[in-house]
Amino acid sequence: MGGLIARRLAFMVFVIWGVTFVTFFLSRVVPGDPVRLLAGPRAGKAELAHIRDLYGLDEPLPAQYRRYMTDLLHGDLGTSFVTRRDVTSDIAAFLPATLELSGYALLLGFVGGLVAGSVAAFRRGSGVDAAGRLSAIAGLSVPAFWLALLLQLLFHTQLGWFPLGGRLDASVTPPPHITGLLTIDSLLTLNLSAFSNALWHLALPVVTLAAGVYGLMTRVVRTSVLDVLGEDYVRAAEAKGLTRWRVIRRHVLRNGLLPAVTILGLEFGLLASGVFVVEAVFQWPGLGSYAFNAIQAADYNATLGATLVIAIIYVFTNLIVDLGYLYLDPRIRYS
Amino acid sequence: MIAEQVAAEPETTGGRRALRATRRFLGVSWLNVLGAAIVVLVLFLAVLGRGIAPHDPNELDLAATLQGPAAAHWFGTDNLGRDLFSRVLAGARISIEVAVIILFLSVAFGTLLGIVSGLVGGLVDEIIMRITDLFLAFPAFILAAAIAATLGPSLNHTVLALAVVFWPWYTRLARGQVLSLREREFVLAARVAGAGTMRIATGHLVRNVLPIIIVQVSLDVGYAILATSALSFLGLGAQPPTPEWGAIITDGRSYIQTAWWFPTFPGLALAVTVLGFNLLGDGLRDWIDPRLRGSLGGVEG
Repeated sequence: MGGLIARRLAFMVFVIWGVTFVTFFLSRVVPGDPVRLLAGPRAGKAELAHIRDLYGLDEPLPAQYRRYMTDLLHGDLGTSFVTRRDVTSDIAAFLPATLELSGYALLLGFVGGLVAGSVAAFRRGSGVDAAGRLSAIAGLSVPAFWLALLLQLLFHTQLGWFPLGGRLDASVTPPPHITGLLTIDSLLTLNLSAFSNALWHLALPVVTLAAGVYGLMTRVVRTSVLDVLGEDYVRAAEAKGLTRWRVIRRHVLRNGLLPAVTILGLEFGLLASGVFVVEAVFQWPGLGSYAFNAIQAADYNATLGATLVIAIIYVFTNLIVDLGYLYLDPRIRYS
Repeated sequence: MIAEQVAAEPETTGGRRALRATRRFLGVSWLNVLGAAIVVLVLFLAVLGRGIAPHDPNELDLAATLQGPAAAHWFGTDNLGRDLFSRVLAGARISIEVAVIILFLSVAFGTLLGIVSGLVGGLVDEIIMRITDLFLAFPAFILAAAIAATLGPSLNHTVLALAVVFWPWYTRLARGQVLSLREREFVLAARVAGAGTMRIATGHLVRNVLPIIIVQVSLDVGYAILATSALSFLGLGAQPPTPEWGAIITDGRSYIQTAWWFPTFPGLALAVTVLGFNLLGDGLRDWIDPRLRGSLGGVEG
């Protein structure tokens, strides 16, 4: 077990290095010239050279990469060419908004999928099962950016129930920065008006983002509960005369939910891609918007930093999921 | 499993068997029928859409901008007076073409690499697997977005970027199949009979790996279409005036308050198309996976 964890950690380091390598060299072949963007159209040759020198862009690529890695190991992701701030502090400022959004979406999709998937499996072959499967596939099929627009059209433009975007109304004083998650911070400071306002802003983007999570979760739970229902120990429990509810609770759900944990990694992949478009539509000031703006502006350091942070979170999630699975199911052997 | 069934079928009755299998597949659930119907309709429109379309998808009519749905323009018109129904039809062709190219590239490259990896083994296998792990350890869409952004916004670059993130899945799938087939009698028999590695790969393995790949492709078509339009929506894919669905939705986004039909219809076409492919793929996988078939008892027994 110890050796296995060590191997997984070593692989994680390899993946993170791979990500820096690939994104660094990819970003350096971007057609746009960030120096020109930065200096403006009227900058002279001397000015351009000065900026190039300032950011070390006149060095050969391997030297630039070496410097980038050295800084990285010190937790320094460089300076954004556009905002002229530290990328590390930029990301720290944008990340909580994304974590809050995806956390609620994960929770909503997870619980919804759990219920829908189990109910569909217990009523296998019925109309309820078909409805559950259809809703799951619909959740995975609907384009997040389109669903976001439709929700805005219906619940903002037509009904006026929810705001168009953003995290808080301009008239609401944001709670002091404790965790950066507005709903938590406002609760901690007992600021109920900020809390309800934050929830109100979260509603539409969370529902949009949760659709895919719900779809994936429903599908996996349905399949795995169906699997468990066919197992001998479930038949044995029934034969023993246990009540139906007891069989479901003690034997079916406990074993059937295991695979639900393992797809957390996949769920995260879905969320990461959803966050990009959902944040764009709802003007959500998170990492997705930040990364997108950085890509558009050929902002090397910011692009690299944001991609790296997303990749690291992703790799860590998968590591925890793998180890958790190992813990939950000792039969698993890794080849 | 399926590989065996397919391989065992004599080719003379292949057509009739396929027909019977299709009928059985559709009989399993009305969801399979729905999925198949949508896919057939979309393919039909993609091929014949140009003949059906009442207008040229890029024909401007500045006298009739942002008209609501009516007899003259079923889906209304956009900000430049272009007929949205014709543009959505043209978009069907683009989406299907793009998905076919993405999947062809990634399946061809990925499957080949997977077969080589599983068959040759050793250091080659180790290197190929570590590279696929590297790709799979990264959120696919983010990687595709980064690659597309790096190459510059265009539909071709989006296709390339998505192929780059799709192939490792096929490598892993094909390798797994090859590993389980490698020691089976018919492969061993071929080896004993003196067939070389290359001949075994092309003559025996490809045919047996194919069915499982086809199921995966049917599941991935929807995702390929969805990812292409998401990248276009972000401005990284199709550029104006290309009537790609994601690009039309981007155009329509700013008019959503005044002209709801503008982003709604292309989005609906996109959602229904992806739904159709996903239903079909999901049904196929369930049908082929023996664990989900047959007499699995419910709680009721």
